[in-house]
Amino acid sequence: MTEHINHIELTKRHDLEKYIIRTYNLTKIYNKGEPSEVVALNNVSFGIEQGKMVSIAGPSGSGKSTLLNILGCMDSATSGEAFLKEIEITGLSEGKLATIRKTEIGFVFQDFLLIPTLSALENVLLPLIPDGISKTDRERALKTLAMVGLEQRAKHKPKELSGGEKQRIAIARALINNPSIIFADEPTGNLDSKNGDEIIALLRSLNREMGVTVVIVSHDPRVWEKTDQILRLEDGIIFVPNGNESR
Amino acid sequence: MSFQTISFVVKNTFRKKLVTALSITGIAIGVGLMVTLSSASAGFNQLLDNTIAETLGDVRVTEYNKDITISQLPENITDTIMTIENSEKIEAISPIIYVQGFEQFSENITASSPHRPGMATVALNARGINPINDAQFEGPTTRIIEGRVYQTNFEIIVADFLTSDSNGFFVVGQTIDFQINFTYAIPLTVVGIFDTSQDTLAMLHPTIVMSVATGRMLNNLFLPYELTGYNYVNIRFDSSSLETTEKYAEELEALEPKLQIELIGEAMQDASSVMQNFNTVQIILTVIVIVAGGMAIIVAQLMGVTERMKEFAIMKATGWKNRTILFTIILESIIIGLVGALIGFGFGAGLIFIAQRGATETFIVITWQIALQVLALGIGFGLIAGLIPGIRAARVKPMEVIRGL
Ligand SMILES: Nc1ncnc2c1ncn2[C@@H]1O[C@H](COP(=O)(O)OP(=O)(O)OP(=O)(O)O)[C@@H](O)[C@H]1O
Ligand SMILES: [Mg+2]
Repeated sequence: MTEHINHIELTKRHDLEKYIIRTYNLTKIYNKGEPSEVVALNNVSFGIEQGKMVSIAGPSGSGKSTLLNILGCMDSATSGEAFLKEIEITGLSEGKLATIRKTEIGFVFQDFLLIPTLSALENVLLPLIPDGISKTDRERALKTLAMVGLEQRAKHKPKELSGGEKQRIAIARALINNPSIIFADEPTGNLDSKNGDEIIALLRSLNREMGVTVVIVSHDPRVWEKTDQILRLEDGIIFVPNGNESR
Repeated sequence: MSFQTISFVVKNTFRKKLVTALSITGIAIGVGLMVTLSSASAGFNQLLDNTIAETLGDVRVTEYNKDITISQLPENITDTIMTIENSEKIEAISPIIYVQGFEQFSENITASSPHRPGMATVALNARGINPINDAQFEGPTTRIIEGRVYQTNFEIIVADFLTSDSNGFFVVGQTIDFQINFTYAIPLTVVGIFDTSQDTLAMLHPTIVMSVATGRMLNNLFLPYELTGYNYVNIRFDSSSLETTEKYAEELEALEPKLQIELIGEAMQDASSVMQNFNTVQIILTVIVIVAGGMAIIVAQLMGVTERMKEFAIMKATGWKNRTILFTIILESIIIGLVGALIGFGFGAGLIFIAQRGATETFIVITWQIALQVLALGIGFGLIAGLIPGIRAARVKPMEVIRGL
């Protein structure tokens, strides 16, 4: 690990704990060894500071979603290391990754991914279903709905909600387990600019008030403006601000 | 597994109403058929077992190597039989006349028993029996439900099902012209009706009974020779196994005149081996039902799972474990299987109820084994059929689905 340290532009050994995410030469190669081989992430080394709201920009196919999925414990890397807090997530078993997704991570996707048969409240409670839902859980979910401004919609089914409202429900679902980090992959992609702005503003306020780290993949400069830091991916290579390439 | 998981599963099970209803219907039809068949065969088995048990000690003797219709045994045949060493084991003995001509008489008269709907129709068959001997067997003369037992010549009693409304050939007091060889007629008067509802072998037993004297007289008018004795003798030994009966019956072989001996229980057991074939058919049917029912669930579930891949993806993204997802799909299948099996059970039970409506004696029985089998089938369907779709759902790679691959 020591030999990677100098890859991280901002990092010195004594302040490692200020990073919620750290990666060292993180590489993802799809269909390795086949003619269709794609190097989606190429020795990506960087860090994301705890409590920040960060955007990841870059052209289509540059590896943004790939990076998010690996950091979000939904996919494995081909090589390199990634840390969430002090946990090395690269190389963990499926079961352990699932536990981390449940306790540490919230996801928001472009097309909301609400379950149509469940009410807004039940969708928010979805992550808790396997372990059982207590009365306090239900109250917490209602509070979370209130935080995203939709306590009046608790009983509504997704088809009765607007796109912006659906995305708010998805954000409430991401928040229900008090995650330390939220990954949002083009959360405004299916929304008009007004609703998009509102979603970003909501994420911003959650980030400020709850201290939850937010990582947003977006093509939209209006989103970038609202974030603390803009990371850029190009052909699987990461560029961190102040002009420093990670490699 | 939380209560919420189960209610989540129940909700999901019934969201594709048509598909779920169709696969439930498929299973229900299969299981219903199976229940009906199993119950019928269980009933027949029980009936046969009872009958075999009843007839274990029964022996019929005729003249050696002669058909029952032409067999001639001397008038003192019962005395001869009572000379055997184990005669104290004889509980009942009844020498009987086989009365000729009734098959011909009844050429156009057949009747089916209302007690056993669907069972073969019977031809009239008549016997001459002494009521005193008949009583030892609790035969027809002990079961008069209307009128009285024959007392003088030319009086007959008839089985109840020959007088039922639908058949109604005979009524008490009626006189029948019994044709002898199409040349002249003998008037016979119906004086009584006997009950057959408790007689599991009614189909094999005489439908018309008269005195020995009347029977002989009719036969002597019919036949070119004079009959003084009997056609056959029914003997009931005090025996609870075919082996013992056989042992006693062997003593009869040493008697003079030489006798033809038939163990009734043995004949019954041969009949019951026919049931074995029926049981095989039933097992084959059960296997078909399981395969077809399983397919119905697999198809329905595979369709459902494919459609819901995004949901499984988001469930996994929010930390659901693979095994939890597998469990939910299997539980869904079990619900479909169980509902189908239970509806099928009801459907089968309904069929049985309709089939037996009006019968005083039920011979189709739903045993607890059948009920248990249905339950096991329902759960089995779900377990097996839920496995493949369940594994597919559990193996979903969230980001691939979300990306739209
Ligand atoms: N499962 C896969 N198998 C093969 N190649 C893949 C797979 N997933 C992604 N890729 C390829 O990897 C590269 C990076 O994909 P990724 O989805 O991370 O890009 P992106 O930056 O999110 O693009 P967009 O802005 O269009 O969403 C692309 O060239 C893509 O075709
Ligand atoms: Mg993407």
